[in-house]
Amino acid sequence: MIGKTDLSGKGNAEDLALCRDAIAGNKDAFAALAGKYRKRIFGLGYGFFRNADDAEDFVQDVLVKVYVSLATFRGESQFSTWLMRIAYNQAINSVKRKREYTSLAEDFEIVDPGDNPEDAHLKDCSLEAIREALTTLPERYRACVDMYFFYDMPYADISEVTGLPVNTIKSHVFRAKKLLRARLDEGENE
Amino acid sequence: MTCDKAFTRYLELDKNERVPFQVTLHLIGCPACRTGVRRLTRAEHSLARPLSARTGAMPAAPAAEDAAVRAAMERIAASGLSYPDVRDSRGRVSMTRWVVAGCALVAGFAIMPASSMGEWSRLVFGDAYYLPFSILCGVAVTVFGGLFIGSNIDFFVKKFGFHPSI
Repeated sequence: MIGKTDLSGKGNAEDLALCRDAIAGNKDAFAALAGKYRKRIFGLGYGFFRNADDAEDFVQDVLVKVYVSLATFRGESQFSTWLMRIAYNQAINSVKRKREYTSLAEDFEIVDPGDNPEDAHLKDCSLEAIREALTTLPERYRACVDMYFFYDMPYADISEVTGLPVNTIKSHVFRAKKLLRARLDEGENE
Repeated sequence: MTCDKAFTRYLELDKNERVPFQVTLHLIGCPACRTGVRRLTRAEHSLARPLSARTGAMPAAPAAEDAAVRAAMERIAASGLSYPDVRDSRGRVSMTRWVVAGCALVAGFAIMPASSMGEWSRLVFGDAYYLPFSILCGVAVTVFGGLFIGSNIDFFVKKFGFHPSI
């Protein structure tokens, strides 16, 4: 069964509480929400703008839009999904966006201080596999593959954010996963 | 179930989706597939970790100190679109009290000429009484209106859209 992420999860409950506090006028609560999702918004912006300055401006625009729309968030989806939808639409409609979306696997340095050498090797193999999968992928589906692998989003949430059919997203991600598996096997045999 | 079929079924799964029973059975009996699944899971975790809202996105500094977040908060404050702080509203005068006070003020000025004080003023000052009385009424209504608008400025800003575009 393909489903959305659990709405009663701890992370979503925490987000909802912060949302309520922000609507009640607590600006620190909104700042906490903004800080939590800032990197995600920046990552998405970087994919569309390929420029750190534009991506920073994009983060600000999205945060202002999210704040203004906060009262309309009904909690029918995860807060993170709702926020990503706003960010995605903002990026798609931006005049500054590049024609083609660039995947985080292609042009973004993902630094994780928690990586040990084995994790770093795994990540290299994975990034290579995703890059390979992206070469034959139509531009609008590249963001979907990123959302699955880098933003940890399930198919239904990706579909809600992008408006693309779940089954098509699923088949593209499946192909990337197959390549990932092959790469990991090769890496193990080297 | 063959290794290929079991792995394909595994790859078809969504995030956090339960592994089908047959696939679980196969994984229990097949160390190669089990290792493959473990490797794949670790790879997926390592990709998602940097942008994860649970771990990777936790800022080193408090959120309010982040430049982009601070800039966004400043833009929101400058636009006058902040949600009113309910903690501040405890010290506010309710709308009912403003209306009652306004009505009392108007009624007081309307009744005053007919009161004993009004009659005494007319007897002492004659027609010259009307000018200072009118000025007093005007000043009182202006001060009251100013206080009312000043204390409810956020309401008027939102109601009539007096804010810079964001």
